[in-house]
Amino acid sequence: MAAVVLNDELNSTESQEIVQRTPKEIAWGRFKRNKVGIYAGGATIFFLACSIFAPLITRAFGVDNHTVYEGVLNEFAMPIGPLGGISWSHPLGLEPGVGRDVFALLLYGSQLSFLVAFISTFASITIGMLIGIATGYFKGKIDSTIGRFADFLLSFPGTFMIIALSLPLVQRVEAIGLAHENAARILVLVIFLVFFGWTGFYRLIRSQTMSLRERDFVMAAQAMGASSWRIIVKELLPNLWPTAIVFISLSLPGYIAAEATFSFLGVGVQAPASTFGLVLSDAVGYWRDDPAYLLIPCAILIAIVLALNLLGDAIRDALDPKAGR
Amino acid sequence: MLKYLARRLSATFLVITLVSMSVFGIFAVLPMDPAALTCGKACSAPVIEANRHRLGLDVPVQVQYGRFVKGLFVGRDFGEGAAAFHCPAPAFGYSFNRHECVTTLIAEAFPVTLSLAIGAFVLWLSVGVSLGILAARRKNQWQDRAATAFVLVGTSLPTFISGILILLFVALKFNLINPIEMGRWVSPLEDPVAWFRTFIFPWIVLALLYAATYTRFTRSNVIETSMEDYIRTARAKGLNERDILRKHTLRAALAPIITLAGLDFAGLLGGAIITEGIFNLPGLGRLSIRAVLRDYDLPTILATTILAAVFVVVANLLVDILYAYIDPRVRVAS
Repeated sequence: MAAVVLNDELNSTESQEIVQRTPKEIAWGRFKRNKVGIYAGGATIFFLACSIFAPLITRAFGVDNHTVYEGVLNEFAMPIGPLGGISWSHPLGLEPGVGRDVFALLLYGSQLSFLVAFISTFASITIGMLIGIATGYFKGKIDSTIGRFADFLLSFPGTFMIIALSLPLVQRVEAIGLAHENAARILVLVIFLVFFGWTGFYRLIRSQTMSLRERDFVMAAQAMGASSWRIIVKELLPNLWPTAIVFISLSLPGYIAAEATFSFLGVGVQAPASTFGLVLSDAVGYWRDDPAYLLIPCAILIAIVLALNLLGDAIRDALDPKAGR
Repeated sequence: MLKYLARRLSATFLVITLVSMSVFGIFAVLPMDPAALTCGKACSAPVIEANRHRLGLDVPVQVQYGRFVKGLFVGRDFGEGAAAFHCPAPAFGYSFNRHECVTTLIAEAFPVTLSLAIGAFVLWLSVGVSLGILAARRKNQWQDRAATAFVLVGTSLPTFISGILILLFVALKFNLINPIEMGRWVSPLEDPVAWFRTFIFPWIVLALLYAATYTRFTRSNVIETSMEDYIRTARAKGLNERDILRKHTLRAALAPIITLAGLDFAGLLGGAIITEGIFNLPGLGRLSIRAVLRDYDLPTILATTILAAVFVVVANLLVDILYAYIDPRVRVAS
């Protein structure tokens, strides 16, 4: 009897073809099951698309971000109509005091926010990855020196230093002729964000590299006489990618919020360009008379950061199910 | 332990020296000329030079740094003749724009920042840790999901947004703060009610951000610790759940939070720039930001930057010592 059952089981496993799945497919399968992650991913793609295609979208709505519209503000320079002048021709209302279209301002503003966030994230990742792998793999004096330096950086009041140093540094960048006006301001902001931001990723990669290099497959590669370069590129890097992807997806919302915060504080791009932070710092002055002008950009910014955070959480759960659960 | 203490103390002293030197160096190589900013539009070259001399900026940066350190210990005289001004030790410098010793400015601003930091600290630690424990104990139930939602909202709201929303649409809308009284420092010893009313909303704004992080951290630490073998042992020998949580799980799970909390608290002591700015609180954050945006008052900027860094470095030392005291494993490793 028992033999028959065993035989049956054998047959059933033979009939079912064993499908081999790569780690990528396993992660994707996990991600697909996470509904929140799918919605957050959809929302992120929507916001990104809106931002990238801002010129097309604004043209489709017949608005742009520099025209000062006539006859839309009343004698107190407040938008005519309910909710800050929301209408078919101006879907998110109008800017009080000036009369530009809020929808167009925010679309173009989100371009700058995403630009700063992407450049800062990728620069931090690149620097953190290079230094993290090098120090984690080779250890030695350089490792302890860089570790000390990273600790040292942590003790500086980063936010305040950015505010205090950005004006003089922007002047210097302009004097050199590297970039001008808003381009110079963005450059300085990105440099600062990266300067104070790479250490977190460097620490993560360094500790991962240190534990990976003790694993058997690395020892096997070393025994076969593989060069350090080959071990780093072929053995370590593929194992570090999940960490990097998780870090990217969780850094982006942080940098978007940081860019908004700094432009709110007056560091970063200046008018006539627009970003969430600039619009919001302007809107604070009108909060009683035109609350929609404050609340709409707030809601959109929160939605973007929230969508990116949820997406990041879902990606982390898919790539590294043990973390955070 | 004594050897460890001595080593850590000397390392801390070295870091403080290096930090203050680099802050001096960074601000010295900037193309900004504080002397040119001292006399408005009617400036002429001789006036600027005279002011540069008065500010002590006409000597090399290492001499400036030497004078700064000396001033910290023995006090310092600024200017000459009838316009001379003496700042007693510890002298952080003299603000020519405000006609005041920087130490006086800092002494005025510090109680505000301290009040802000302590209240927010108590609020976020109690809310964050208890919510984290609750979420871990009721894992995958509605309490856990509510805590997760709170974490998401807290981490997705930039401080300046939660700040302006709470200030405008809660505090001012419902007349919970008097806009005229805003920005006035009330000592808790003189008028505790007014003090509480001034600070409760800034506390909430700051705590919202930090509590979210602490909830997440506590939750994952408690879950991780409760899977340890010694917790199973405690359960096997018949200890009740309450005691297991209190005496075994929390002790191990909350120890790392000391590090986090100590550093976050120290970071706040250096000035909460955004919150102080939005609620117009005359603390260190507002002092330093005004020094930058109004007139680039270099002595004040240098002093507040160095002070903020010193808070973090000292907190780092205290936290490590405390941690070694609580967790014997760390002591052995060191």
